[in-house]
Amino acid sequence: MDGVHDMGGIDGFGKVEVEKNEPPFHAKWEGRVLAMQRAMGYAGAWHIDHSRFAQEKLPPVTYLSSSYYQRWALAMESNVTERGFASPEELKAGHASTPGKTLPRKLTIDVVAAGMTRSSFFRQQQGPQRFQPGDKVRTKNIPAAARRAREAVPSIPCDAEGPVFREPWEAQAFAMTLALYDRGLFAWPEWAAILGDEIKKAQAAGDPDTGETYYRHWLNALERIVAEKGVTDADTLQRYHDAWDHAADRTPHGAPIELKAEDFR
Amino acid sequence: MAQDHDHSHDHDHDHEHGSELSDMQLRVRALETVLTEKGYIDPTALDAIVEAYETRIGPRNGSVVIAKAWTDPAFKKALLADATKAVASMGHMSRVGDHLVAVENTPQRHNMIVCTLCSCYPWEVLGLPPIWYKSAPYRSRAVKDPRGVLSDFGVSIAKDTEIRVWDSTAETRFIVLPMRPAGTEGWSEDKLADLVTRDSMIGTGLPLNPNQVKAG
Repeated sequence: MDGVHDMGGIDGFGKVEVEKNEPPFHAKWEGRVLAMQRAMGYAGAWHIDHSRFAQEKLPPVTYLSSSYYQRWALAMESNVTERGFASPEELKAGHASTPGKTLPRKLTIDVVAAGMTRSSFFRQQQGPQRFQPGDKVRTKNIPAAARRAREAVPSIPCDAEGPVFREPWEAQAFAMTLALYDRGLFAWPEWAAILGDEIKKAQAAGDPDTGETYYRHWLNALERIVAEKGVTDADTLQRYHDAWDHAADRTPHGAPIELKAEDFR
Repeated sequence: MAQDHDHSHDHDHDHEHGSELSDMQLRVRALETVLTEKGYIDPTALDAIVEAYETRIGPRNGSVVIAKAWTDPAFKKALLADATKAVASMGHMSRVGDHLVAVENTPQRHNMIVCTLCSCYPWEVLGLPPIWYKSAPYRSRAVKDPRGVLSDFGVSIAKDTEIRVWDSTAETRFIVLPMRPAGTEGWSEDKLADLVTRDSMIGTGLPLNPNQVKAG
């Protein structure tokens, strides 16, 4: 996931400040947070990547303005509630109102005394090895959302760098679709079905099917899905279409086109 | 339980009776109570974990490893080949989670470790990472301007020495094997370990010189 936590190389954070004789914890609650994290990890409630992902999902402003153990605590609250180990109401009340789920293990004092071994972070190989040490590789930056879209909709025109667009509006339509997917408006199979249907309809109507019109079909599918899901309707889209047209007409060539109230008439 | 008031808690306002807890204290207590009542965690085990990090698990573990590598060529070879295995063979600390990689400083190359994404760090050998290691300035700049970061620590490395920065992950963590200081010929491992600072094993510092420690 590409986000504000991925700090390598960002300018402007200033000088490294070293605290002399720093204690392990600056407040008692920090130690409790660390210990709870270890205990829940040992119990098998979630693993290290879940913890980190929950931190990475924090709003950027929260991430940057929270202390290290505050981020841990916020991430733990979301892992506890999102994974159903307790409800937000229970956390708010500070008491459990129902019994807990069964977990594989429980960290007891005997386990700690026997040596606090961290659970293994080893991950099984996910597929055949594609490179050898020393091989030259070229990396490409495909944001996670675009990668998921490509996996779900294999017809998206791509080159080695990722999706390719012939015009800015194509990229806008693509980005809007990703954003709506991220908001949970639809699942990718649903999108692929509607897009496939729009392509079929266009072909039946004589579309040359050379790839140049791909994002026209995409846009048709996007207009259809937002209407089907009740985000907006065809009339509203038409109203905005005409307003943008009006705004373009009254704007001198080269100046930025901006939508104003007067354009809606 | 008034005694565990947060040190940084704001006490400027008056409260005539009862105790007061900061927002974080309240939220963390709520978590601990709920998770305990649900049967997921045992508070006495939490006490033991906190105690271990406050008293036992610290950079001395790593200093002993480095001192052994300075005096025992076979151990040094084993450490550079597979640090997880070599550290386990010493038996003085808990098993290191998965891959620990020791990177050796030489006159030609100085090594530094960082975790740009968060805070991965070899806890078993170095203890908990210091705040600066987890801070935005270190995470952002270590990979781009390592010499600038070193100067924040008052360390300067010869211009013609290459600086290599290792970015940690959950699965692979690093420890720097610093160069043994001159003038320590014939020293015991124990005495040598006193020279090995935490920062020298992160690469933001150098080992102490013999004249910086009390004669023992």
